[in-house]
Amino acid sequence: MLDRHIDAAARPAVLEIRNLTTSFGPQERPLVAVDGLSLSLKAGEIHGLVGESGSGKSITLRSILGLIQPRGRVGGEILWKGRNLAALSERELGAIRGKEIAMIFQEPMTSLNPLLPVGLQITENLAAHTGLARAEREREAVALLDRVGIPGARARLADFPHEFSGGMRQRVMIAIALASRPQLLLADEPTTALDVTIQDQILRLLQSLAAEFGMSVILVTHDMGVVAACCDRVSVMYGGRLCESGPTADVIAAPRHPYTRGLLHSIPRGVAPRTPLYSIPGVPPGLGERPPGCAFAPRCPNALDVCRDEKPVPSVSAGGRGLACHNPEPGPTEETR
Amino acid sequence: MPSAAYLLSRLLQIVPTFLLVMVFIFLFVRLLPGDPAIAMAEAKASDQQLAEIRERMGLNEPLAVQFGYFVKNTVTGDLGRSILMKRPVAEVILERLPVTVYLSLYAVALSVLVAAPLALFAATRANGPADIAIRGLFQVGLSMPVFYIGLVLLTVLGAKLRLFPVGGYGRSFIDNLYHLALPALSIALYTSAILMRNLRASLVEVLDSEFVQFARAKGLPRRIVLTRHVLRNALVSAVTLLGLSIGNLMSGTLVTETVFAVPGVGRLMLEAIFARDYPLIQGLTLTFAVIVSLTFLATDIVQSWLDPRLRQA
Repeated sequence: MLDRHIDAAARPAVLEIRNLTTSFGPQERPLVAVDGLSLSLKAGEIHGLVGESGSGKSITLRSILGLIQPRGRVGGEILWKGRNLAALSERELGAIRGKEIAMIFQEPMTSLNPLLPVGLQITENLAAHTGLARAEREREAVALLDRVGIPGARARLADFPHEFSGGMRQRVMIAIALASRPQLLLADEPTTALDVTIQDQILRLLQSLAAEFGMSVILVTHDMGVVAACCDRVSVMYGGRLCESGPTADVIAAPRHPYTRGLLHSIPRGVAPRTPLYSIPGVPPGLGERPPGCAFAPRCPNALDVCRDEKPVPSVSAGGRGLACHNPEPGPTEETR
Repeated sequence: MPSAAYLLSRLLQIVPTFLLVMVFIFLFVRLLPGDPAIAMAEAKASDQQLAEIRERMGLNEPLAVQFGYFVKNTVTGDLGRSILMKRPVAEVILERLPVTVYLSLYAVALSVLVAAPLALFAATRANGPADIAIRGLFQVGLSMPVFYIGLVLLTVLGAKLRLFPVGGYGRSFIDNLYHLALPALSIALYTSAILMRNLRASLVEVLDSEFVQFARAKGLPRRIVLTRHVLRNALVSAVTLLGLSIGNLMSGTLVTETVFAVPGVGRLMLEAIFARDYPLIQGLTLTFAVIVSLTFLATDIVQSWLDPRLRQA
């Protein structure tokens, strides 16, 4: 486990997000969904992006691919293979979407076109990005469905989405996303809508595919358990901003941001039956009502006066851990010092 | 494609519909005040003659038996004789029907041609100035009765500018595109307004759906996203609306055909009503019912062709 992290740290970053800001609504009074997020992703890394609903995780993914519509505005830099995706035209993005960077969505029930056979939904990806002939595209579609674990793949090409179960549809969606062998997969809560047993299968599938194709993954989830199970690194978002990031094992073992602590504390572990479950008091702020200081300050047990007035500046410490907090929990480094 | 089993089961569903329609028509005519025998007979007919007519028409039989005759005659194509035209009803209707069918299809085609591109244009700019302008304009079209639109078109395009004939019916298919332009347009302006609003609403919904985002995330060309993924899904509800509007359209032809002097079944119906030509009214009502049922059948078939989820019969 430790070896793998050192290994990963040595690899170059493939995706470098700098100060990403995505806002909606009127220019003079914008609703800021993502507020100055920075993130770096290495080749082959599975990176968890965690946060509550409305924390800006999904908007971050959509911003990377330029899918924000209709009037979202994306600022900052999204550096992918030396190009800034945020500055590319719709046409230039079209060549990257699905080909270099693919995305899968949360709801397998609504993310496939109900009127088209799944075979076509796979092969249209290949038609857009490869020079394969029709027969070759179909052969490839069968191979893909087979690879993601759809039994009797050849016979199912002509089937429609409603003829598949939820878990199978998620597999189909993964097959579609992987058709053109992308180097980065953006997974937007791919297991949230599925049964727990199916969740586990899909996560394992994603892990093995990432390893097989040498593909990086950004896995958006609100479930710390999912992060613990399969992510190399994790970034925790709150109110559109990054709270804390670092290698998964380190963050889970010693969370420094009070919000991360709260999230981890919310996972019921070894509690007696009928014990009330813990939840962080309060609700996340809406897009238009973010406090001037730290977004988490109103709910934070550690909040000081400075937290309410000043935005904490993100800092990176040894071991690749990032933190944006005025009054963090004592970290392992301080304790050993 | 929809399966043969689906088509067959859908076809069989028409039978009870037709039977019900026939029951209504049969009872309705018998509920009308007055004696049909008197209506049929010459003025000053004797009681003896009236009794003969009743006997000949089977009016002395029990209602159920009369209904049996009515169904048998209808199925064999015998709709009786028109009092007004003094010819078999079926013959008169068959002569006039193609005109109305032509006019209706012409109007539908025009509506789709106007509504579909504008709906797509408006939906891709939802709530922008162009969208609001288009919707506002169609709101005006929607608020005006068809006969009024017809009269305005007639006055401006027909009488003043002399672009189109003010009425009548042409001799050939091509000729009629020209002759029926004004009546078709006046129907289409109304139908396209409804269609535009519906299509725009479903396009906006589909554009926002996850599978369209997924299609965009696949890097498909915009043209393919719009046609294959957006338009096709939005069409499912538009087709329903178009099918349902045929009933409206048929009753609309009563007015339009009269305003533009088009010799179709709509105008014939109006003439029959004014002349109290019961056999003709009965035959025309049945014809309208058949047309509406067949349109619904066609709508269902097109829908099941568009949407595989509807194919399980």
